[in-house]
Amino acid sequence: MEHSVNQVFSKYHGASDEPDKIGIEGAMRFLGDIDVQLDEITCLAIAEFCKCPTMGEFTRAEFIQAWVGQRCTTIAQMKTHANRLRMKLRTDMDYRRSVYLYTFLVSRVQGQRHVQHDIAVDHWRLFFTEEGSNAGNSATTPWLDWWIEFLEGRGKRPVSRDLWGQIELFLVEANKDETFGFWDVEGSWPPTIDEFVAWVKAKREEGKMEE
Amino acid sequence: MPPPVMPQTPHKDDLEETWSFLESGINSVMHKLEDGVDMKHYMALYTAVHNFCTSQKAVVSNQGLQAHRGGSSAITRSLLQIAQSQEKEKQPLTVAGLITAHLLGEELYKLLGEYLSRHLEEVQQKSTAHTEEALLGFYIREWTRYTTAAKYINHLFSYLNRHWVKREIDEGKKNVYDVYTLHLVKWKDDFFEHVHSKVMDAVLSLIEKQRNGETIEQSQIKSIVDSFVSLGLDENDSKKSTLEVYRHYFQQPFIDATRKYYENESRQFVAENSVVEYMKKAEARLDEEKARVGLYLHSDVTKSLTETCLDVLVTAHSNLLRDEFQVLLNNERQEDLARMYGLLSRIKEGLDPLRGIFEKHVKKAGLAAVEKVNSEGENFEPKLYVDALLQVHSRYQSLVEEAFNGESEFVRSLDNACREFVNRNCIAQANNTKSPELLAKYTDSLLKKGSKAAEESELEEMLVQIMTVFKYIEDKDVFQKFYSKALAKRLVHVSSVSDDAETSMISKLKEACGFEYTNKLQRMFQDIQISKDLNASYKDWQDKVLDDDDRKRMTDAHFHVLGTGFWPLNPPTTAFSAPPEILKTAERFQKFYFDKHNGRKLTWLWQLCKGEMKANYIKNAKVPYTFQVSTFQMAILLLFNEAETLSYTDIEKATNLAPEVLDPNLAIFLKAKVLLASPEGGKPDPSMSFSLNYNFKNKKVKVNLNIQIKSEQKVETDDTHKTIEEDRKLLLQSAIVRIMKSRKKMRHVQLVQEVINQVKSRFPPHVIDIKKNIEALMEKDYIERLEGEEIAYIA
Repeated sequence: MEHSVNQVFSKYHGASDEPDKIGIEGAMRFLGDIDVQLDEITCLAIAEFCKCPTMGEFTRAEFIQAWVGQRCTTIAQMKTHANRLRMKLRTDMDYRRSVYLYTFLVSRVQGQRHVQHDIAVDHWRLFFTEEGSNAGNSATTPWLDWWIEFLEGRGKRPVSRDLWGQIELFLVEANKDETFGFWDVEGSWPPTIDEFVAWVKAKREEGKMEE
Repeated sequence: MPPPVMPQTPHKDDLEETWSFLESGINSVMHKLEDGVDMKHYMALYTAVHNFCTSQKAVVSNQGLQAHRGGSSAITRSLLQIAQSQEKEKQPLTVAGLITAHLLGEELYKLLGEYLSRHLEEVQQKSTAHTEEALLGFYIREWTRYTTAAKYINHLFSYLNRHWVKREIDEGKKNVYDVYTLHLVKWKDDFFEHVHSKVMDAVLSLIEKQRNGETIEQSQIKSIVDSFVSLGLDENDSKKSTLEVYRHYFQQPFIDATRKYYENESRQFVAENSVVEYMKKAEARLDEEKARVGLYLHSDVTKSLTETCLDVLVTAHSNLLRDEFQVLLNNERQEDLARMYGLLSRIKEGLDPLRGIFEKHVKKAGLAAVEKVNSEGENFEPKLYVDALLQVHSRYQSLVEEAFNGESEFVRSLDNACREFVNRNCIAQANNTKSPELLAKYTDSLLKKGSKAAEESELEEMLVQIMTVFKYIEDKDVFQKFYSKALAKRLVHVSSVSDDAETSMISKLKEACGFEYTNKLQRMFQDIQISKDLNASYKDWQDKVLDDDDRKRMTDAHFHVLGTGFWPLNPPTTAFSAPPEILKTAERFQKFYFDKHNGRKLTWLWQLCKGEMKANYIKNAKVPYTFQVSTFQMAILLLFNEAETLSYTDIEKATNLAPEVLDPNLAIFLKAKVLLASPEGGKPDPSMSFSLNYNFKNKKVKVNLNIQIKSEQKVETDDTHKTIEEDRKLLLQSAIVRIMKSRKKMRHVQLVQEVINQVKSRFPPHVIDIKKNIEALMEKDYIERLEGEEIAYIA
């Protein structure tokens, strides 16, 4: 079985790549062959599944171990599994969160602790709008848009791991209770989120005044 | 007078004969006791009782006995029969653990009871002729006669008591008593029951008279009380007395009457008098009633009497009293406040509402005092501010002490109020750290040479007062910062008023805040001490090393070596080329120091150095003037040894001083007319040139030119605030790390709470600031967030 998976790995291994790595080009080919788009969460789920060290890179040992573990030895079987993950992302919120948290780790520029603002925003747009999300814009409040607007207003600072993890929880709560009943200034939310709450409140006041 | 004929002792078997013999004797004890009792007659009576009780024949009267004992149980009856059958064999028998013997006396007991009933009926008849005080007199007379007789009769019947009565009681019979008690029971049933309410009416009207201010015969009431108390018998043990009768027939009506009396009186009094007058009245009444107990009541009444009086006199009017509290506070009526405290402290929760009012009042007074200081302009002396705070505190502290008995709850209210107005008032509002800053500056003004409090003891007292305010300061770290800055200056400039005062202040701070708080301050002292020794050995070194030529051109100097970690001092903000004379001196010392302490680094704090210069160039001066100058000023003036006139640029180049330092110092020289500018007038600027004023004049020979520049002061204060912010961040972060290190895992809320607990002795932290520092530590990977609001320490 290992042998078959290894063959698949070699198929996408490019000449210029390091011996045990599939580089960005091979990775894109592989994802295309298993019908995974680059702008869907499933792409990140596959990366998490194969324990990719960074975005767009597969390492041999982890690749083999992951697929063998799922008994997938052919592209067709891998395609099926990718589809399974796609469905799971829509129904299993814990799984979805684990992919979300993994995404932070692989989105950092090497050697940095934070994720750059623009990259973070791209991922949020992906996670909080794709089917299955309960943390995006609601019918009454454009939570995601406001969050991004708020961050832009304060200078597009890099996003910390804590803020990354907490904002998802916060937006889920905010979607459930738009009046912030769950929030308390002395609670454990990161200060940036506290500021966001104040910002939203001010914005709503402004909205009322205009009416 | 003994009876003329000696009566014959009755036949011992004959009940009737025995009783009629006894009755006449008892009767004379009851009625003619004052005539005396003949001993023989008395003995005859005693013997008659004894003989009758020991007679054999009395067994016959068994029938009557049975009838009389209608209520006794079947068991008792059968016991008796067994006893009777045993009688023939003259042997006692033990049945069910009881020794049953045949004892006689029931008939006598019964007849005596009947006699007493007859007697009491007569007494009762006679009593109807009396009312009010006369009735009391009658009651007491009859009571005395009756109880005195009872003692004798009890003795006459002591054989009966010892045998028949004792056995009856041992067998658990109800309604059988020793003869004396029988008297009391009869009195209660046959007389007392008929008259008690009339007697009590008389008692109560007597007490009311006394309350109204009349003089009464108190002993009468006392006797009545004693009588009522005596009538209390324990149902289960006739040898014991209870207060039941007294409580029911005396105490209850007395308390009811008291309540009614004072309800009326206080209602009326309040309607016609001021609250203060009422308080005096109530106070007097409470004392009076307390005294009443001691005079003629039973002490058992104390509790309910006091409760009743408090209820009617205080609780019922407590709202009225409390409404007056603010008025009394406003008018500083200490005595009346004490009176109100005294009254309300005695009722349940009587004082609680006052505490809130008091706290608010003190706070208001504190704010008003600060307001007044503020109205005198922005540049008030720190002393004025601190004095205002102290004055309010001491005024109300003495009120709490004098009027409120120093009660801890009021002390707490005072503390709360003081903490409020000390930390938050119109001067300390925008910047919450103004109070500690002013307090530290005031302390500095006291500890600096030239302060007005010259007396050592007076100074000590003022330091104690400072600690009073310090206790309320929330931002103790701010005080520490300003204090250590000022202390550094006092030490460096040798301007402390006394070492003792400095030490005293530091030990007070240490006592209040702990070793850590004063650690650096103490190290500063040590550095000064070490520097003294260092200078001494430097002198020895110089004596050995220098030659005559060096010595001639030597500058007399003193050095302080101060540890960077302990002193709140920064390197100079300006570049500076020290004049060669100074530089040589500095380098020589440095050489000496590095020989001694290899590897240490010395930074010269030029901005803190100072010296004196002799101005030999001035005409018309008999004694040359001495200028007291900073090292920067020295550098400027020394340039004029080589030239008479120098351009601004010359000076700037030679000294290397930045314009922010150079300009104000030149301005000081111009103002003092040490230098003359051309063109004249205006602030120093690069187009000017300066020359020495040979015609300098001053009243004093020593001229101090080393004046602190205003802008420097402000910068210093701002810097201090900045370092406070930084230090707080560090303090918070180290607290968080310390807590997390020991706890490993902790909920966010708990962590925040724990941090507050740990740092609140230094300053009151905002939760937001704690959260920011938690975030900062997460980013530094000291801690991380787990799911579910939990924080974990990363080792």
